[in-house]
Amino acid sequence: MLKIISNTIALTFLEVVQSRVYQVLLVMALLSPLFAYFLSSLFLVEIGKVYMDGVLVAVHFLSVIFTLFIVSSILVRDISHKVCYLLVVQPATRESYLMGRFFGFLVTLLILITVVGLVSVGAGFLIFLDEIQLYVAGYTWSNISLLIFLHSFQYVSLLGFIFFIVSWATGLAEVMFFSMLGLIISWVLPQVLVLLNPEFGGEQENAVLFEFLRTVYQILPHLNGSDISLVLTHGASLSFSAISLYILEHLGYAGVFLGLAVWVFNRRDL
Amino acid sequence: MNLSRLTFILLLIVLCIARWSAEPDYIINNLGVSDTRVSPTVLKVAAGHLPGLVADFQILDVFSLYGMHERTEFESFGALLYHDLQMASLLDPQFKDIYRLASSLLVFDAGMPEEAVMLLQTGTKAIPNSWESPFFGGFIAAHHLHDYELGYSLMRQASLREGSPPAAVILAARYLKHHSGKGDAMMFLQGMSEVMPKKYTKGIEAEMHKLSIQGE
Repeated sequence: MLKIISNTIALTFLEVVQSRVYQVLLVMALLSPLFAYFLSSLFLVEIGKVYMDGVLVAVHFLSVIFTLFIVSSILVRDISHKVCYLLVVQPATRESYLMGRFFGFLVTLLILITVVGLVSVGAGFLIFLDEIQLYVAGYTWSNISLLIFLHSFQYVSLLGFIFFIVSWATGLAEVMFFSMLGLIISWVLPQVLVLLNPEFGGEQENAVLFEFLRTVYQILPHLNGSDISLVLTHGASLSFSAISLYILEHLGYAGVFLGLAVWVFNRRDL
Repeated sequence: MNLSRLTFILLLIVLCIARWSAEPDYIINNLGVSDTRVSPTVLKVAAGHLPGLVADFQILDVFSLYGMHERTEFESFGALLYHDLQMASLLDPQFKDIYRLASSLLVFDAGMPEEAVMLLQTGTKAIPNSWESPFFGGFIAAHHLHDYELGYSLMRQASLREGSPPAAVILAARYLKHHSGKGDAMMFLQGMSEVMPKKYTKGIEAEMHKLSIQGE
């Protein structure tokens, strides 16, 4: 089983790297510091912070496009054709197929993020070399590296969520619809919950709605990287426990939803 | 040249003329209506996982408002400026540019010291290791609002923070005695105009000029 999983990882990597969308994403990753630089050049004082905001937007959009378009389309194609072409000579169990695909996608996403990280740190070094310290306060190569790593880590949860949807949804339209719906709800729900929370001034009559929405939110991936980003872009440090809990939350979510995906997929009549 | 090509070229020319001539009016008209701005709730929900970037865009809006105001002065400038700065502080309360702009443009160009002090108090709480927000806030509270108690309280906080200028202690002592002199104001404005980018010091320079005339 381990051999099949490792082969699937390698073949997923090759398949994704050869796809045109991924190649375009790689080019966009290489150009991402340019966007961040143009954005920061419009500012006068805290340009280091704005540069990091620009890089984070690139990380966000590349990760969402990768998980929504590349991952969904490859998985749906495999399932609807009932064959994973790359493994045609090698019969695989549904479990090892899903596990191999998951880690394969994770590796390719990691490569994409690493490219963003390397070019952003390199470009940042050149851009801010002669800049006044006051203007780039909070910007250091270690800070931006940690920021990119932690901000991108939340998409491991999104990957697990998409695998779960693929395990029961039929067709690309259904997968895209539910993935987008999940993403949009997880985008707006945290702020809606803050507004409805009776403890923070929300109306008491909305308490039932608040509890209902809070339960819905627990099912969705928590894309809470912005909480960490707001701290790190200003040069403040994060405690070891905060970082560990954040990583554990996303690993746990991805693990649970991948497990659920395997369980549902094993029972699915193909 | 056949008729379809000629029609296409004519349409292209019409489009270019319409866009170039209509755009400035369209922007100015929009700026005049302060109600068209989104509410804090909507903005916070829409910003979602990218509050830092949306706060940056709010500040960019401040720059464009200032540019517009320099060309054609409009009534709602102060209200719009305050709205944008308030939204930015709601999304990213640690963003120092918000408080720098509040203590310069909002006070000296828009004439809204009370709102500036409110924003600077937010900044004082949000960035506990920076002396800038309480320092600027303390000066504006004492010198423009004549609220010496608040001025003293903020200036004292500034003086206790790391890297604060020696002037913070002197000003805090003067505010305790309910006194704010012209010399203090000149010293403060001089320092501020040195810190702020030259492009945005018009209001500060006008205030310094006003003070120097008063003395003559």
